[in-house]
Amino acid sequence: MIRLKGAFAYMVAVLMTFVALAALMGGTFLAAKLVNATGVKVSPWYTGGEVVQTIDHGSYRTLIHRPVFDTLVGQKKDGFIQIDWEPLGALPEKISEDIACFGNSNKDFHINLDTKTNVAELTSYNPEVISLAGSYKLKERMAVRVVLCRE
Amino acid sequence: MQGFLLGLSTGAVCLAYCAPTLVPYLLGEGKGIRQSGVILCQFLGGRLCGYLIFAVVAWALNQFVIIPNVDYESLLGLVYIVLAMALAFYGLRNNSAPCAGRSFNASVNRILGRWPALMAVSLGFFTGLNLCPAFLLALASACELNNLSQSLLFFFSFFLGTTLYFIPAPLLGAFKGLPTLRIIGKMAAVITAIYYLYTGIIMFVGGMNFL
Amino acid sequence: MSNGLMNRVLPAPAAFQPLKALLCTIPMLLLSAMMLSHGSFPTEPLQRIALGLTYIFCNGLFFLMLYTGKVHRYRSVFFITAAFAFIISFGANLLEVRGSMVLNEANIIDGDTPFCHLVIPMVIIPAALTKTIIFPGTLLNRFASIAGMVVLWLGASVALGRGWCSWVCFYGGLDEGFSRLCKKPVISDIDTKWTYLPWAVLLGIVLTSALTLSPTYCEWLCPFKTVTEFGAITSFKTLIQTVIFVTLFLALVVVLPIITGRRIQCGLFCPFAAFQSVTNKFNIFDIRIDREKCVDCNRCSKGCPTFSLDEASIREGKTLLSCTKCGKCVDICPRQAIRFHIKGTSVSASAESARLLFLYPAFIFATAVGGGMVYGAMVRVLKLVTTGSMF
Repeated sequence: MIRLKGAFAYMVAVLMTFVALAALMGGTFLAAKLVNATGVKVSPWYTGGEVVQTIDHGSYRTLIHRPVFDTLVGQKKDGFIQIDWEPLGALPEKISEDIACFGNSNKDFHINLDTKTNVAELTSYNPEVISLAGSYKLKERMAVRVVLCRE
Repeated sequence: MQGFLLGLSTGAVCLAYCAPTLVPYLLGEGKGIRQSGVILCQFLGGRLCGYLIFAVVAWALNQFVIIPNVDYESLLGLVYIVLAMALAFYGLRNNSAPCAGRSFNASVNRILGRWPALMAVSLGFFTGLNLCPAFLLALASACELNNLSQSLLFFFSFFLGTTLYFIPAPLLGAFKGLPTLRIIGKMAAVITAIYYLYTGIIMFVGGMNFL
Repeated sequence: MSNGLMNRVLPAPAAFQPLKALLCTIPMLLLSAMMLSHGSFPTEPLQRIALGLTYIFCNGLFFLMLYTGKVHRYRSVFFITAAFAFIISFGANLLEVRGSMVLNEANIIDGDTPFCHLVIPMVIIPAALTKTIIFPGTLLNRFASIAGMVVLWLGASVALGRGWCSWVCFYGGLDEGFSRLCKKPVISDIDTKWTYLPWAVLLGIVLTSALTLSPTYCEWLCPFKTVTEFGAITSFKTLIQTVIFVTLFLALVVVLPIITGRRIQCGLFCPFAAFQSVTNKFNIFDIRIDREKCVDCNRCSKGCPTFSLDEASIREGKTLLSCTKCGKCVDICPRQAIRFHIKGTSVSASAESARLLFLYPAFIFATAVGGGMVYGAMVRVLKLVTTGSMF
């Protein structure tokens, strides 16, 4: 029994070399499998959350993300919404747009964005729209984040 | 009933907000499951006190419009600072204190020796005063009630609903056989205290938004 | 035990004859060629030279480990070199791709932050409850993607347990490098209570990360931000964070390791280290002490870089859960009482086989991760020397 146990232990120890090789050589494949199996995504606090509406302006598009209030369980009072404009190369010098962000047709705020200087201005039509968190020149798009606070 | 249901639906949020205080404390005490249950009851008792104070506040908000002038962000910051101090004191209490702190340490130890539940109750009380999302929902609902007794009842039933989520907490007592967990719990209490202290100071001096 | 007997150091327990060492190095020669080249030989002469030098460096050290039986001595050379190479190659890569080592909000939204293993304990609870990863990286198909690093970590945890911390971690070598600067430690008596601190930090950061849905260790406590990437100082908050990072780096990675001769960051602070310790429970390899040979001289416990041996554990013939399998105790034991061991086999079973079977997976990971960094850094340095620019 002891010898059998020892032999099994040696077999497992040898197997560890193959585990190492599998983790390194099959890393890309296994990583894709892991993501598919678990269905995880990067937190919306970083990505801006899912795009819920796309407005086509011909040469460019406006992407409206869902408002992010996520917590570990449920939602919190303070959050933000992210608006993107893409593709970066086709954006006009000035963007001026009304945005409805709470899933109804009411305009909640207006954004003026200078795509050359990356300066944005916010005009709020809704008391739940608080301020401009920032405007960002990303790799393939421009984005703004607007701070929201639910009543 | 409405308060109880609200407590049931948002209790997990309450647990998430209380865990950074409660878990290190339960581990730090190093008691068995039954005694951890007693500690949890003391903690929840303190938390109930915090809730009932808010029941009065919610009622007053509805009765007197002058209260909204209070700077809640600063007030909450202050609560966080006191909670941080309580946690830090708990974490460092049994360790050798610096000379200047020794007499203070001894006198507080005397008080805690007389009322050992005081630490758990006060930690529960100050976490109860935190405006977590679930709590804000309860506060908003209670503000619509005209009667003080109704407001108190609403918060009490809200407390009962959320308390169900805390029931598994005494299971941490199963680790009482690992004495090292007591040290780890106390050290974690100090680390959590530093986090709350920073958050409290920032909120107190002007809100998180300026950062 | 007389000093004479104590000082009579026996030859290394598992030193191989030159031919045997060479034969056992052959598999590593093939595997490391695959790991370092990723299946294609570079076309640029500078890259070829760098690859060749890295290849010789890695395999030379592996051969020396087998030939001399001194695992820690040569692992340490590799580990320290890899850590400093990591700073050079990572920094240069950031400068080339992003133009700066500073992390701004646009990089965060774009998911441009390379994922490192230290984040793993913090993402588990939010991932389980919200199915989201609380880190501003990319899941797949990019350098240091989140899923790629998790797979690497899972594999290494199964194969090496906490051996990760002495063979794969690209930060640990900094700590180890500084800890070896001073021959005689200024402070040698450290209260064992401090060895619980990593667990407390782990508990604190796991709870606060779940509460705030952000990796609090990375945001507030990671000393290695000082030498990798760090947030742009745009507010009071980021200023405080930067001060904390620099202070912790100087204290835990530079000053304290120098004056104690131990890996203070790894042994007394790193929450990932505590988390990784748990993997030693199910890993097949461990370090054992032959009680019949041990003379309780305590050289091993005094020399252990991560405080993984104490008198009680020596009496039991085992290391503590935090053992990183660095091999230092094996190297320094004057009685050859300490050895690599395969769980389930007798302590007196062949130390050679156990050591060799551990060294293969350990060095495969080391070459793939650390070797890649040495190669990357060497390319940058050679470019700098020959062209005046790293890019």
